[in-house]
Amino acid sequence: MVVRRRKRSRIILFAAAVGVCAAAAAFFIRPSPPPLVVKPLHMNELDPVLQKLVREKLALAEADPWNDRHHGILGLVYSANDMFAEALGSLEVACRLEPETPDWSLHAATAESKLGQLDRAIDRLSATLGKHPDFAPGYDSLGHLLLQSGQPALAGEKYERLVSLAPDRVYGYVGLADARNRQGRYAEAADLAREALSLDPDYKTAHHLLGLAYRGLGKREEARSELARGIGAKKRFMPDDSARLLAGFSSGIMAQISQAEFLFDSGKHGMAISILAKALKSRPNDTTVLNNLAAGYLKTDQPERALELLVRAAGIDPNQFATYLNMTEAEMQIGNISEAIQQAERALELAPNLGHAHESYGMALVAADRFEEARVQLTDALRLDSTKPAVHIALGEVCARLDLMEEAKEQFALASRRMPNHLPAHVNLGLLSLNMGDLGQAERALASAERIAMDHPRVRLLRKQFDETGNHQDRIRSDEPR
Amino acid sequence: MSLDKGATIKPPSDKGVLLVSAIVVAVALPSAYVWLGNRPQEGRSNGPLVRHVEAEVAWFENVLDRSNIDFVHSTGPTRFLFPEIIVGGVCAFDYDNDDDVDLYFVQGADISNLGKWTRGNRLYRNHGDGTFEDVTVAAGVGDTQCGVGCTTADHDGDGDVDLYVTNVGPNVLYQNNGDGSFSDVTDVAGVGDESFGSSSAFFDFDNDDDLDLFVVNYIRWSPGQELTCYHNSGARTYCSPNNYNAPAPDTLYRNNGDGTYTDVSDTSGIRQNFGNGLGIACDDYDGDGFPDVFVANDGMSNQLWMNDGRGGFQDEALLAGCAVNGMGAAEAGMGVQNIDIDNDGDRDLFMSHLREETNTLYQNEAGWFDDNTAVAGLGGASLKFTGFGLAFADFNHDGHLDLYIANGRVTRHDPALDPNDRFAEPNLLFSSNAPARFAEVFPRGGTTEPLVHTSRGTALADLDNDGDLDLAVANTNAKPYLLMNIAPKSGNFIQFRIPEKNGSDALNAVVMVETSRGRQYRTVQTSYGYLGSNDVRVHFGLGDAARVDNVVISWRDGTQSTFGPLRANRTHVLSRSDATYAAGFE
Repeated sequence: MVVRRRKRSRIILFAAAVGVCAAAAAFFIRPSPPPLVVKPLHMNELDPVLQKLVREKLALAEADPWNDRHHGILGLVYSANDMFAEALGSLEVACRLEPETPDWSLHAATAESKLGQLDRAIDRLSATLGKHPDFAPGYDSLGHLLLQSGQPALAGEKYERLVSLAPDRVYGYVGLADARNRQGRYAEAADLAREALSLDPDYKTAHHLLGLAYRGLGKREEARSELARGIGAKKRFMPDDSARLLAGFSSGIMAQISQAEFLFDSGKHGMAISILAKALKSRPNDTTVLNNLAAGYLKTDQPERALELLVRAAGIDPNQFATYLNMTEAEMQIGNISEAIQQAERALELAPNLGHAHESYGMALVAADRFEEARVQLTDALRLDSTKPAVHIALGEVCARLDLMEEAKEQFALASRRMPNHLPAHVNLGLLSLNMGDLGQAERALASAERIAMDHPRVRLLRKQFDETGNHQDRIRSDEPR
Repeated sequence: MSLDKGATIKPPSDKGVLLVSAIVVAVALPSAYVWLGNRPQEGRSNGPLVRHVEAEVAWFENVLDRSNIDFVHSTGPTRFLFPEIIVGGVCAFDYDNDDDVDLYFVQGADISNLGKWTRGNRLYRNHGDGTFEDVTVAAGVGDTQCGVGCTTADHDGDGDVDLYVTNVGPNVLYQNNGDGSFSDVTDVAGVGDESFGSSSAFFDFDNDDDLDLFVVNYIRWSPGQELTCYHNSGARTYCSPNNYNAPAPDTLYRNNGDGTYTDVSDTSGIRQNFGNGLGIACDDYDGDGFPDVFVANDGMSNQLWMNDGRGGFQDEALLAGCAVNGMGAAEAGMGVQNIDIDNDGDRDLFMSHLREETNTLYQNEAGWFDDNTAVAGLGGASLKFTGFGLAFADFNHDGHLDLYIANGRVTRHDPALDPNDRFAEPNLLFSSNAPARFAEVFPRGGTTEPLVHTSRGTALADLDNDGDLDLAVANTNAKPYLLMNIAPKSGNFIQFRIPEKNGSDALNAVVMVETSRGRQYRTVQTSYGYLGSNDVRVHFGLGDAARVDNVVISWRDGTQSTFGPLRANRTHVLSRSDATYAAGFE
């Protein structure tokens, strides 16, 4: 009886204890609060378009805070608009919610590196690649970070892996060439850079790396040529699945303009114009946007549409020289040469020290067959900015029209020296030299032109004329009395 | 903003919370705490993870308030006019030959009203007791244009130091009269370059024993050419120099030896190529006995003008490897210093750059430069700052060069580190314990409390003549810093003044000192860093070496003089006139 009562009281005590624990647990333990949704530090200062985009993505993340994708996308929006502190915060949340998506980690590491936290970025990407050993874009970024932190051997290992994962893409070869150059292994670097160039002959970074490798191998002239081809190099990173999204999120006005410039350079004019047209909707009275969109129309042979925008820009700010430079170009394209000259004069009035203004005026004068005046303006343009081979060529052509052949040849020669890979400079120099009977100079120019583009029609024409002249000269020589 | 790295978190399930609560109590609480409280994890730093050195005490003390220097830089109200964001030079030179280094601060101007603003540049005479006196009016050097930078040298070879000021507009040459006053001799000398000048340097490019003048010009700019630019986030900010598409050609003036100069920019070839120039470093980079010129360009390829010894220059930067960084990208060159950081006898180059670019070390190996920034440990810490003024010096006398970098943004970024100055950034200090290997020193910038302003030019000088090197730092739209060196010393020093026969400083001579620890090299020079000039004396930290066994001076005409042994912890005057040790003072 006593035992049974004791047993019962033990059961009651146990049940009570469990009950108390459960009650206590229920009291103290509540579900984890939702992850923080990272907001911009200065929301009200953001560009209206960007502000709208951020608010839209914030709302999604706040409505469903346990969804990694919302935080990841928000992070990409911040990244695309240079808000790297906010980007890192959002992407870290996404990484923690879904560690199986390596893209978030890659972009978080990029944000960290932009914030100067190289070691953290390296740690993060190394851990990610431990879990996702086939994530090729991760090796590209990690290799780059390791190079930045002075570890070329380790970077080389990552790029070797990238080459094995993506043998038909340039990224691994370029990264490995860079690492090998830094290790002094120039012959290997040269092979790798050539491999990259076989995949993408226009990749300037690969030309630069090949130039450095040649320099290390003592091939001075080859180095000089490749380094010149590498001018303007920009490192490209292997895109991951989010890269397209990232590009689409560039909403700030300067980001949009930069993106449009990039698209114009890549020949995607339609896309570039649509980005600028969208930008204009949010800033209808912004003369920078008006001018950039007008320039886009000029690039696509739509001068009337350009002029319409430029007239609007001049009405908003009558003192912006860029507007009149673009108007000059628009009027030239339309064929209103006298109008073009007027606009060029206005631009020059506003920016008398700008080489571009003299160049623009000079070109308008050329179109009006006013060669003497054009020569003065183009000479002034070069005095102010001698770095543009196109102006040397224009001046050379003007001089040729004025029968100043030596001066013309000098201008073409200067253009070819300034830009050793500028085809028109060599072709013009070759043709003029032929006309002037300077076969030696013509041959050198032809060799340079053929090195750049053997099959270009203008180069073939130069070759044909050179061969004909050469044969003619031979004939003259053979006809001479012995 | 940054969150701590916590465990993976999954959404809570409504089911079975009570049943498992006793079990999960130990797990869930820390997880919840991580989200709510942002608790730092063990072993992880919340700050930037760069390799760094924790200083036990500060290396510098800002003594401006005790110095009587009342200069406040100003460019008027912010209107996002381009020059506002890059100006601010300072020169350190002994204008009155009293052996104390004086300071000259270049003043900005309300750029929208160029020419109508009258605060002007200021010259402060060093009393030698830690205080300075504004002697601008008596000296007659208070140019009131929108000033950019300055440089100093004895341009007329009369034994006192003259002053050249670059402006957004005509530059000015002040010739020292030797009595505490200067005369504006710009027109007579013919050196009033009207471009937007930035850095400048006197050097004898034709080895004819008088100093010629190289003026670096930035862009062709006028208020009428201003553009409207925005940060990617949409906020209004300053444009990039490349937005103007108007790089300005530089100018080389040859000294005629009679107080006048001839503009030889075209005939010398230095206008074959140019960019948005900001920095200059003149030195003999190929060891052929003729000084060459390195020009740092902002957002464009740099130039390395190699002197052919016949009055001509050829740009060899691309092949030499210092036109662009190791990946072929042109960076935003601001400040530059030429110095032998690896003690191999040739001059390396270090440049300060924009945020998201590293500052870059171009290490000279037999005439070829390699981008060794990362290996030297100078890359990561600079990625998030925009560098301008810079100065390598052995601040703690351990026998290895340290490095100070003045920072300040040129575009808006968040977070703002000073609510009143959206462009302010802390400066950086690096120390070294091996040649060409650096680590950042904390507290950041070497001061007890980080100093955060928009810093620009730096001037390195032994301002109190105590044998260690101090710094004056110019800040845009703010007071400067006057940073006295209080670093704990781990060795001895030696310092030299190197005059030519006529008493002028022997610019571009190279000094080699040899101790039991090895050799070190310095060039006698004033113009390096950003928009300013530095103490012309050459200073070496010696570590535990108590004397210098041998000093060899290679004069710019190719001859050499040998001195020594010399005692440490003194400033010696090594004169060429008798090529013997002249004097040393404590």
